[in-house]
Parts: sequence; C-alpha cells; structure tokens
Amino acid sequence: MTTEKFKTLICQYEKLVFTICYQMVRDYQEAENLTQETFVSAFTHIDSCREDTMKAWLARIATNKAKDHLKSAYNRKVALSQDMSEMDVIRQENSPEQLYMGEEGAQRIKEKILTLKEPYSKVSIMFFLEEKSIDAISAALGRPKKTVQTQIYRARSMLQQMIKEDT
Amino acid sequence: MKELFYADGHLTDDAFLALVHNDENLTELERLEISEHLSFCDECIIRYTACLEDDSLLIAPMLSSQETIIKRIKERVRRVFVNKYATMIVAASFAIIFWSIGIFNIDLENGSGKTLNSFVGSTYSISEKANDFTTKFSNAIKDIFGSIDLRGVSNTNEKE
Repeated sequence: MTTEKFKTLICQYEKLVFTICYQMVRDYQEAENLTQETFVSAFTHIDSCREDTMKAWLARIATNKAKDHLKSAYNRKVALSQDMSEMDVIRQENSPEQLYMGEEGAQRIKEKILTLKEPYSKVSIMFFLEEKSIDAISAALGRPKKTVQTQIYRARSMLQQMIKEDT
Repeated sequence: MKELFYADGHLTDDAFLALVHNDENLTELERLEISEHLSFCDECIIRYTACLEDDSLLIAPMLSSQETIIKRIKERVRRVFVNKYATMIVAASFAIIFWSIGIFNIDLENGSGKTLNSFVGSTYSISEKANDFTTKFSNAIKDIFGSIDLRGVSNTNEKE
C-alpha cells in the first residue's frame, strides 16, 4: 500500500479508532498513543485484510491495543495489592483460605464458584469443578488460551476475596 | 448494577451502551473484560462497530495523528532495515574472521586424502588474502558507523 493510500485510510478511520481507544482507556493522551500504535500495526499487516472488513479489522486491532494497556495497568495494581495482602497473611498464622477450608470445607467454595458471573462463571466451573484443562476450556468456549488463563487467575483472586470477607 | 455479559458469554446491549456513552460507572476491570472479549469475538466486534455508525458518537482527536503515524511507520521500517542488515554484516564479518584465523581449515595431519593436500598451498594464500580483506572490511565498517547519525534511529516513545 502506498503512503498516500494509507494516509487516506487514516483520514477515514482515525475518528473511529480514537473513539474506541478512548472509550476503553478513558485517557485522552493514552487514546492518542494507542490510535497511533493501531495504525502502525495495521500498516504492518495490511495485506492480510480485505477492504470490506477493514472497519471491523481496525476496531479489533484498536481493542487489542487498549486491552494490552488496561491489562498492564491492572496487573501493576494487582501486584501492589497482592504484596500488601501477603504481608497480612504473614501477620496472621493461617491464611484465610486455610481457615476457611478447615471450618467449612469444599462445598462452600463450590457455592462461591457458582455465584461468579460471566466471563468467569463457565471458565471457573470447567476449571475448578470439572477439572478440565486450559486447552479443553479454550476449545469448548472458543476463547484464546491466554484469555482463559487470565480469567482463571482473576476468578481465583475473586474467590479468595470472597473467602476473606466471609472469615 | 448492569450486566455486561449474557450467560452465553457475549456482551449485552447495556455493555455497548455503557461503552459508547462513556458511562463513568464502568470500572477499569469491566473495560478490560469487555476489551478482552472484543479482541476475539467477531460477533461482538461487529455489533460494537455498528453501535458506532452514528458519526455524532465519534470523538475526534484535537489534532490529526496522520503525520506522526507516517513518521512512526517510517522509523519502524528503517529500524527493521538497519537491524536486518547490521545482523547480516556482523554474521559475514565473523565468518570472514573465523576463516582468516583458520577455524575452517581441515586438520591435514590426520587426513589421508591426496586431494586435500593439493589445497594446502592455496588455503594459506587464501588466508592471507582473507586477512587483508578483513582489515579493509573492518576499516570500511568503522567508516560507515562513524558517519551514521544514530539520533534519528532511536525511538523512545515506541512501546513495542
């Protein structure tokens, strides 16, 4: 694709891509940066896209860029809060899960799993209760393996939080 | 509290409404969950772009990034080009250096082939020539790198 043609493409879709990035990250500067990254990535893989699917294709790249940004921001926050909770656990002799397991048993955890909503519900049931592998869950739900792993990780954190609140 | 996902795992209309109208109650985690879903679900990405058909819902950046984008693309292309050829030059240099110091020479003492012996003289002369060539090549590389202005090549803003 020539530079001039690509410039036309930017003109045509810049507002859409910026809007998607902004709606996801809610930060003007970051949305601008992600918009630029979206078009740079699009240029690299432009040959793999048909003209009639260009809009959805660019929207997909933009949401991917926004997802990566939100994920790293979220992981930083979680890492910080986990450091704090680990300190709390050290202060107590037993972790909340251990106390919970000792007192109430697995049945209560099962009940907690069933209260989780999508996108964690099916993944958690399949992983924690049905003991299916990541590959099997990914294939059954049509979700990428990485997404399934992330969702299981977050579901586990949510369950830990619920247990903590109960004890 | 709004339900963002149907039981079948797809995004609800409420989720799209909250996104499109920049609902402030939508948390960062919820936006992450939505973006994760949109990154693989064709059905929902089509629904989302359909929600953004109305031009009045689109937000225009204050300044167009067109020139910056083209600049970043050119920088990336240049960086890929430099990386590719620098690797090739380094690999070729190593090959010539190894050749000139005799790493590729066959131990003829233990070999029995007459054919190999006939190459002994020519191997040494090739080594001498390779030495000369390596020296000239090294000087040429120094000249090239001395004349390149690397300030334009680095891109600290690039995240990838």
